[in-house]
Amino acid sequence: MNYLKRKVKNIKNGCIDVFNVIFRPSLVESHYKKRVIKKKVFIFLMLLLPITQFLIFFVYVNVDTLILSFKRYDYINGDYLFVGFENYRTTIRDLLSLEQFKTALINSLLFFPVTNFITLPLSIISAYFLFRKVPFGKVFKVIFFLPSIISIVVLTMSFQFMFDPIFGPVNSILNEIGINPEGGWFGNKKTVMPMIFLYCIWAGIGFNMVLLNGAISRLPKEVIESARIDGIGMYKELTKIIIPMIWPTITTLFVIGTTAVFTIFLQNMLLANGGPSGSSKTIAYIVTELVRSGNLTDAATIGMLFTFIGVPMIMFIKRFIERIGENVEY
Amino acid sequence: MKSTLYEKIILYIVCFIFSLYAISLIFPFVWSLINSFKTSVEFFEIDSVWKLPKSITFENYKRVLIEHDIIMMFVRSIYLTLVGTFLNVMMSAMAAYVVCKYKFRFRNLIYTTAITVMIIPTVGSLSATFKLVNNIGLYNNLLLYPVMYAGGFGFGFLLLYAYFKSISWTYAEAAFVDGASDFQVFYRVMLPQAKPALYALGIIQGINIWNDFFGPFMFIPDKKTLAVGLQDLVNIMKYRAEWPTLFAAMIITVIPVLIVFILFQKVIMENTVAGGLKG
Repeated sequence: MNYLKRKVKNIKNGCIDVFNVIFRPSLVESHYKKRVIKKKVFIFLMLLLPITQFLIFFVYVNVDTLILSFKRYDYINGDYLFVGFENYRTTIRDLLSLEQFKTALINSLLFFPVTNFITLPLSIISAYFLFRKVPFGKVFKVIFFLPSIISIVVLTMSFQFMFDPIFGPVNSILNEIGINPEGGWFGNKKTVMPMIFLYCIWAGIGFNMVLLNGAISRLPKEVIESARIDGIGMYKELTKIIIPMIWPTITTLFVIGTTAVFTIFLQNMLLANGGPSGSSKTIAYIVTELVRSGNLTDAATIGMLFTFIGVPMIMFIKRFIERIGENVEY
Repeated sequence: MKSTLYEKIILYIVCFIFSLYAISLIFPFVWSLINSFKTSVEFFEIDSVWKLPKSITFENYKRVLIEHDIIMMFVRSIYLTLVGTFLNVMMSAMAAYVVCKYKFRFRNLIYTTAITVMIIPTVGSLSATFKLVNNIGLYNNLLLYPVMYAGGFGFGFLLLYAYFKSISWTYAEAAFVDGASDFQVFYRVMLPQAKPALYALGIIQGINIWNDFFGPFMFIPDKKTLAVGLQDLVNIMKYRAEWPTLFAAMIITVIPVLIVFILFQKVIMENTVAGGLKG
């Protein structure tokens, strides 16, 4: 009944439209104009909140960081004063001379090989074997997803428990064999960074694997099957067919892995508090410390320096990796 | 399609290695759960770490809930998660819908910005964000804080954009002919059709906000959420050596997420994959 009513209404409206077009063109135009204006208002209203939020929390904040990096807080006037490139001069000097900065810089840079040349390849191989139907593959897939949904606070905590010098189960096993670093695994300068890397690999494989496995399972089955009929081995199947075909996903993960160099610090903070004696700090760690201590201008300067270096570098790496993909392609 | 014997052997070796990794992921939680039922005294008996509790005590759970303000943290976390997720999903839906279905001047600009913004590291602008949060009265303001999660561009935008693209426009056209306004079409016709994607995004963002440590730690330090409070407890318990109490707190934090994950496992896994591919 309703359907019929609507049909009739549609026909009626259609007739009125035709009538209007033929006999009253000006009315149609004004109706059309009204509709266009209404549409514009709608688009405006829908985008108003998201764009305002973006302008404040992204554009304004980044511009303000740039401005802050040229200023210094003046305690006598209680206001920020313009000091030109002074902050940059002192920051670059400190970066090159202070031991603490140097360690932080090296620690940050080391995340590049760890995430991209250890975690990523391991994730690709694991994702491939999940795809090749390892026994119990479905169960593994669910378990490997855990690092993606559990809070980093809980993950780092449970990792620490395992290696606790007093009650840690893994530590007690290693202790039996005689491996027992002085001050505990996170309290020893020599072991603290390797432990943080180990944590990142442990938690990172699960995360990457889910994305990579999704990409592999969406590939056209015919290509892979026809290659298998040709009697291709596992190694060749992975390197010659699968990897080139999921290259876009690998690129994305590589880029995310590279940004880690500039953003990583939570792992270091939660696992070792940056210690012992600052040996596990990263650049981002120092930035957050400065912000928390109220030194906004120095934090802004370091942030800006690394944005200037980081963003072009990440863009370059993205292009570079995409290029490799083009050349590898079958 | 058949695997050769050689390949089968490799698959079994991989299965073994996978099992070890899977155990390493699960073991800490099972271990913490078991030890959360022990008293501190029992926990520190020799070799107790490997043993089951002599008698199950809920003393640790009671203590965490009463002494350490966990209930308030729980309430705060739930509040932030619900409001933050709602704002995020709504803003993403509004932005994604208009950019996907309407043609207007800045459309392409908005789309490219949404994609590129995702890869720019944000730690750099932390100092200005901190200043802004202080200036607009967001600092330690639990009521206003969810605004920080409301971003309409990013993961949610991309996920919903792709979904809206797959929804046919014919229903909307029919509604327009019937005299529906743009807003009515969005609210009554398009949003109901996008429900699966909206729920999926909601669940994923909800988990992210529930787990978020850095934001609340930085901007609402006096209004501790579960994630922040848990980290606090670590430091307190280190002095008191009341580890089992800490295990209990950890289990309390994990359980809501695990329940959501078990209930919506398929939705979460599929959509994380779909969203992760873009960019």
